[in-house]
Amino acid sequence: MVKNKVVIIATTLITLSAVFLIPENKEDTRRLLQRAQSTLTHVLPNKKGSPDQKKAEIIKTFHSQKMRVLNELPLKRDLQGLEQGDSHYTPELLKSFAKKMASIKENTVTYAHIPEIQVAALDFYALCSDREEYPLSIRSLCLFNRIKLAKAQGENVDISGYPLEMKKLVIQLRPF
Amino acid sequence: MEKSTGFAPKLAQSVNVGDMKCLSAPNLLKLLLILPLLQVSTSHAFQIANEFNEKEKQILTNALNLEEEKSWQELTKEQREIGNIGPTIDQRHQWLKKRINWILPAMEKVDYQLLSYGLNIPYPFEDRLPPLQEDNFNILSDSRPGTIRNLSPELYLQGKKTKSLILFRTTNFGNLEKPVHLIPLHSPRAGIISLDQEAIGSETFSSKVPVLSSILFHEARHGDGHAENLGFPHSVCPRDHDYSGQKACDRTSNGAYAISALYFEKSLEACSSCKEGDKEVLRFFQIESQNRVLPSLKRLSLNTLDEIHRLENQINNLSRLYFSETDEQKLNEIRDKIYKYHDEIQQLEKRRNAKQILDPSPEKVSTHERRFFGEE
Repeated sequence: MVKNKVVIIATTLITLSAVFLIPENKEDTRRLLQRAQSTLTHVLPNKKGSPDQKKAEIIKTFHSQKMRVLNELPLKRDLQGLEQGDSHYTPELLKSFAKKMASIKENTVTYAHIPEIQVAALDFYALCSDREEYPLSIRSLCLFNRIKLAKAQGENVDISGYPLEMKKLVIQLRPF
Repeated sequence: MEKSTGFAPKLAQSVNVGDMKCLSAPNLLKLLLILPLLQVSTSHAFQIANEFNEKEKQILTNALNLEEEKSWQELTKEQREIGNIGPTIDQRHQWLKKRINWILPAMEKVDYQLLSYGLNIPYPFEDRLPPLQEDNFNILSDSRPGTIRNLSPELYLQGKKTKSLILFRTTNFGNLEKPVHLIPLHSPRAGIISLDQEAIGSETFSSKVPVLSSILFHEARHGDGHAENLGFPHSVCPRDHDYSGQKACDRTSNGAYAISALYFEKSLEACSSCKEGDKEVLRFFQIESQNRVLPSLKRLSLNTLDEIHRLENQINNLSRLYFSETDEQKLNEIRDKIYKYHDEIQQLEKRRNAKQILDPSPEKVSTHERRFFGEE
C-alpha cells in the first residue's frame, strides 16, 4: 500500500512538472506525459494472483486513461481556428472530448471506494482546470468536478485565482 | 442550384431580381389562377422532405416529437424568462411546432424557387432591421457538411427589405396529390429548416443526450423576435473567448444559446436514469452553450469600452515595467497603480452584468396579406 502511495505521488509530481514547468509546445507535453506513464507502468506491483492485483490494474488503467485524456485535451487556439460555420454548434473536437471526460467521470464514480483513483482524478481535474490554454468550457467543467471531489474528501479548493467567467459557469451547474 | 420542375417553367417567365423572381403582372395573374391548385402551404404539423430515408425520418420525428424525453421539473422564474417553454413534453412539443414546420435536406438537394408577391406590402417596424448580417442568399448555398439552419428569418427579412411577400416554392415535400408546395414567408416563424443528413448520421451520444432536439430548439429561437432583434442574431465573441472573433455568441440572455443551455440543464435535471457519463456529457453541453451567452453590452457605452481598453493597456505597460524594475519603492508605486486600474475596470465591468431579455414575439405582415395566403 505504501509503495502504491509513493507511485501515485511520484506520478502526480511528474505530471505536474510535465504540464506546468516544461511544455514549450504540445509535443513536449506529450513526450513528458508518455514518460510519466511508462514510469508508472514499471513501478506498479506485479503480484499475480494477489487480491490487490485487480485493484492495482484498475489504478494503472485509470492512470493511463488520465494521461491519454490530458494529452488529447483540445486547446483554445484549436477552437479559435475553426471556420465560422463549424463553431455554430459544439464542434466535433469538443464533442469527442466530452466523451472522454464522461469516461473519466464514470470511472471516478464507479471506483469511489479506491482512494488512489480519487487522488488521481482530483489531480486530473486540477490540471485541466488550471491551464489558460484550455477552452473555458472544459476548464469550468473540470473545476466543477474538482470542487465536488475535494469536498467529498473533506478538502476545500481555493478558487480565488480563477477567472470570474469560469466561476459564473461553475455556479450554473446544479445540483452542486 | 435552382432547378425547375412541374409548374416552374410557367412561373420562371417572371422577372429576375438577383436570385429572386419578382412576378410581373401577367405572371401574377397566372399565379392567382393556379393558386387554388397549388394550395399555399401553411403547415400545422412537421413536414419532412422526401430526400430523408425512413431511418432518418424516424430519428427526426422522434426528435421533433420529443419521443425519448421526459417531463422537466417546473421552470424557475429565471428559466421562464429565457424561454417560456412548458415543462411537459406536450408543452415543449407545442412550443417547437409554433416555430418549426418544414424540414428540408442540405440546400444542394433542395428544388426551390423564391417568388415575390406584391409591391409596397406594409411590414411592421418598417425601418427597424436587425444589424447587418451576411448576404441573405448565402444561406441558400451553404453546403458545409452537417449544416442546420433556420431559413425563415432571413427570407422573411428579404421580403421586408423589398416590401414584398416571399414565397418559397419547393417540390421536396411533393406527392401525387400535391406535387408543389408554396410556403409564404409572412413571419420569421414560417419554420423552414435546412438540415444536412450528415448531422443525423454522425450523432453517437446515448439517447439520454438529446443533441438533435436541442439543436432544433436552438434553431426554433431564430424564428422569434422583431425589429432589431428579428431572428435573435448571434454576436461576435469577444477577445479571449473560446470562439474569439467568430459569430458564435449571444449578447442576449434569452437567445438561441441560452435556449440550448436551458435545454441541457433541464434534461440533466430530469434524467434520473442517466449514467454518470451521460450526466457529464449533458453538463458539458450545458456549459458549452452557457459560455456563449455573454453579458449585455447595451448599457455599456462605446466610451466606457474605450475606457476599459485604455486601462487594460495601462496595466499591460505597467506590468512590463514592473518585471524589469529593481528599485523596491518604484515597484510598489507601479503595483499600486496596477491595483487602482484593476479596481476602476471592475467598477466599469459591473455595468455589464445587466441581463438583456428580449421580447421574442415575432413580426407578421398584415392580416389582409396573411388571409390571402391561407393563414387564419
